[in-house]
Amino acid sequence: MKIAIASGKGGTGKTTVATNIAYCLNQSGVKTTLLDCDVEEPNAYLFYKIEDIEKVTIGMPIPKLIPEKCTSCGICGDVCRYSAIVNIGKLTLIHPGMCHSCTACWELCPTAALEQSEKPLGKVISGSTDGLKIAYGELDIGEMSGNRLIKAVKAKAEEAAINIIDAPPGTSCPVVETLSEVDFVLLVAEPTPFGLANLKSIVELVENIATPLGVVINRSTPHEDGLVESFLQSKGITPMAKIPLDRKIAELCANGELFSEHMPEYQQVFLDLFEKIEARVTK
Amino acid sequence: MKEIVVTGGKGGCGKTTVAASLAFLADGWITVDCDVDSPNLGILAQPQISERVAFTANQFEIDHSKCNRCGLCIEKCAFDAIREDFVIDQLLCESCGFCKAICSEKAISEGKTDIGHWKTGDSRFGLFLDAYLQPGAENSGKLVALLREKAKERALAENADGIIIDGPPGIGCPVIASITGADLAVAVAEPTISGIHDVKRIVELTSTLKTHVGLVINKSGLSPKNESGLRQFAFDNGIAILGALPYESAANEAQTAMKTLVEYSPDCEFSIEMRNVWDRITALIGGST
Repeated sequence: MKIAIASGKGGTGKTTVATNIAYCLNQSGVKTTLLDCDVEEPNAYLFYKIEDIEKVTIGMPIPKLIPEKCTSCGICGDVCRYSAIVNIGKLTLIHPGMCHSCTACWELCPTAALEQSEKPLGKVISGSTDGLKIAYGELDIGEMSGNRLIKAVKAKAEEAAINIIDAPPGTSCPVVETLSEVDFVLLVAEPTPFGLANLKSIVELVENIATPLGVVINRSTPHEDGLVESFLQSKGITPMAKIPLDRKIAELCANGELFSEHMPEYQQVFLDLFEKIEARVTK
Repeated sequence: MKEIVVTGGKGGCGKTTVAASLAFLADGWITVDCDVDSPNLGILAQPQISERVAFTANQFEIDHSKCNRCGLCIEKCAFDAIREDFVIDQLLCESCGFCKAICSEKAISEGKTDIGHWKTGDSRFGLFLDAYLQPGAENSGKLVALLREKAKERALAENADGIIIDGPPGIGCPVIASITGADLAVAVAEPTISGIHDVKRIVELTSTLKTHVGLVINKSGLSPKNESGLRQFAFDNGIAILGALPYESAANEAQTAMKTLVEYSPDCEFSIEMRNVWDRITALIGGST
């Protein structure tokens, strides 16, 4: 089973929820994998001491020019929609940073003057801690898009395990890549005007990809929750759990601690949350 | 005319809170929200919209009356965006046009579709611009670049002193588009282990992009250990610390009241330090306050 943890807004507590669910499931003997798909800023691994670390470099295909075969026909520049190839007179210039790896330029070059080459995009790092398997991606600084890296992290999902997938913030392409083909999307919402605006966007996206969703309210307070709850009500969504606004939780997270380890009363909250998700997915 | 971009790598570290306060404090500057996924600054700015322009992308469709179902497009699409029933999944499509170029039956057409918009209007922060990208749409970097171009045009026309840019989270294309060419990146960092990790990556990015960077510590007091970690990192890398804003419990209250903290609670510690941050920024970039 694949459960993605997402939110339109950054900093709502996706990683907090993902790391704590994974911890509680693993502690209770469920085979669990934690996959951090926020490859621009991966944080989940910071909460664990990972052992048996394996690093694999992930590349992306880009074109390479073989100048002696090039007739300067200009087809490659015409076909590239990303300005990654520019033909100036007899010159063919390649900007790897703009390339989306669509393969059109080398496939359509009539004289085979372009061939497929590869440039590194980032790394997938995996390991385990206390039986819990963890994998995350790390996009190289200066790279535009981590979608291929996200795919590689997701490939570490295990059929027989509960795969908890930490998504990047927002609603754009890396989020779409992360949420594709998951069984359930758990949204972490924050009861603020910003949180509400971004919750609406991510709900729209998840409805678009027709995947079942649930909502956890984080930093919940009795007088603020109404803001997101009235929206959720209009959508027929009941919050699956609430995590209160509590400075102790914030401090534990700040210091890289799994708060449910230190506040064991929350372990049942996360296990109950998982049970509700499981019931929704397997019904 | 100067451009400063509020950035930080991590989501929720306080970029918009800081940018909104700067926007309020900076007289004669214009403000642009470049987080086109989550454009939240407008919730506080509440501009009187005077112009709204659609942002379009190329959209490809297969005409089933012409398609001979040869399957070449499915085979060649690098993004697995063409389904077995010869329908293009618009969320997965990256508009490369390869399918159209190779279709022997010319069955694939290309049109324009609205995927968002950008808009501008007057606000109590001065002229304000932001944009909205439909959930799941491509080209956020392009929209950010367009928005900055429009902001620059307006700033020049208005003879503004500068532009405050509220940046998106992460280090990918929209972030690169928001930072490139700015005079100063104000990196907001929270004293958490995630915050330290993320700001290191954004500082590496600003240095790759050759943009000058200063650090603002937000949620100061949450973890003294991590705060000294942040200060050590800044010291080791010769980065100016522009200020340390306290963990402010009124932050959410201010937001609920649709106000910046410097307006909502002008005498609180946060607001006092925020004004210091603005003074240090102007001193650093040599602009006028």
